[in-house]
Amino acid sequence: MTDESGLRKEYSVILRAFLESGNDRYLMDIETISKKCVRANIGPDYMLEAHLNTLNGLVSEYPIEKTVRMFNSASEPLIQLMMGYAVAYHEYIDMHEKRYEREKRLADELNDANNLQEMFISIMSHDIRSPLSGVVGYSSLIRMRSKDEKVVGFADKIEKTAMEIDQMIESMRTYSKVKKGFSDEDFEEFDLNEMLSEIFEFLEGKIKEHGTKLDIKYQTDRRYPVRGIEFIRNAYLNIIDNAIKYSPMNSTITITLDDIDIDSSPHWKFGVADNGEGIPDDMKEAVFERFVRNDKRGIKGSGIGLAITKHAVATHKGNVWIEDNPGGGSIFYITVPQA
Amino acid sequence: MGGIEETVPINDEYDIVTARSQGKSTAASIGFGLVDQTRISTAISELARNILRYADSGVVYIREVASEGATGVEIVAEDHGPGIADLELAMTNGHTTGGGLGAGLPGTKRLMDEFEIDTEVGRGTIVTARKWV
Repeated sequence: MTDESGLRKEYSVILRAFLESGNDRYLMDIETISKKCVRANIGPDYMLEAHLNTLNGLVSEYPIEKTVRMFNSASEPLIQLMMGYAVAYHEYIDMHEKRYEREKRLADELNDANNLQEMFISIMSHDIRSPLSGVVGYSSLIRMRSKDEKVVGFADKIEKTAMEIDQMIESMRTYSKVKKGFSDEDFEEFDLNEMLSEIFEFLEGKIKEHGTKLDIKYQTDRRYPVRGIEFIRNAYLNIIDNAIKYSPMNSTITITLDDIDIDSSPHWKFGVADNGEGIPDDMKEAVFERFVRNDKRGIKGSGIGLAITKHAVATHKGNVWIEDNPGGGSIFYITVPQA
Repeated sequence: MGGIEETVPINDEYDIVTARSQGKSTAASIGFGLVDQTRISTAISELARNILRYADSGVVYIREVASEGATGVEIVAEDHGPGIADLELAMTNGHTTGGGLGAGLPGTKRLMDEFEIDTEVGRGTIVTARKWV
């Protein structure tokens, strides 16, 4: 507002000076004022008012013959003022048109890049998987034919590593699919409880290997209905899998599933508490980005699991976040609406 | 041709006033109305300002021109400054750049009927703008 009254006053002073002297240099000052006005977002209507008020003021100050002479040349500064507006507005419009075009072009390029990424992932998963099956096949042949225990051990390692590569490819494919989005028809009702017990079954080998104990704190004899898509399984699988991976051997992982209200609509709040090293505050959101990992030596993964989790949960209008476990380690939470 | 031709050297702010006044009176004598006179003097003002801002000094020529029976005014703003490295940028970036290269050029272009820029980095810039009655 100070800008507005300041510029009106400035114009009024210059207008008077011009009318009294007829010096063209004041027209140039007016040009500058209109640009300042556009910058300060003061419309020409307000300046027109300042113009008329100044003229009215002159009428009361000067003898009539002099004001008539002044009024004759009063249109010139006004035209100059409007011309200044025109120049500044045109520049403004030009600039925004160009910016719009540039943004549109960038959006197209981004779209192309995403398509390319998808194509790349699908080609990669196909082309790497075929030689990978050769690796797995021949290493199991070596294992079968060799009597040397050491050689058998190497073959086991080769096979295990190949399977890990296969898993990484699978998670990249999943990520690319999750990112693409889903339609309404993909959604159907399922039971979270049932899905979780399938996940525990799937992870049985790993659970045994780590000596992990699962402390399940929810009723396993009831239904926890959710409307969703098969993909949401990956969200839960990834955070349970992480809890096992990042916890010390033979530790306990606590699993909860609570009935809560978010904005007065019922949700299932799922929690996985581990006893790992925990995640520092500045990483609690970053770990959900692609290829970010809370680096710990000897832990394998593509750094894509939690990115999948985040997208899958978001697709279900849910939320995923991390809190510190008071007993050490982290608690991962996922909330999704109840069906 | 053979009409009015004025040459105004641009070395300081006061020269801008001289150039725009000269432009206005030339435009008036050619037969432009008050609004067009203001368009022309505003264009001169913008071009002369650019000369001061980017090249320190230069010259503005104001000429009466005729072509196929039409009369008009031609403004040539010439300097031996750094030239404009990115012409497209100069023509798009508006006042928000707060004095980036070529600020004011797109606005000037709209005030006139014809507008050409000849620029070379290290050699200078010649802007030619015409308006027909």
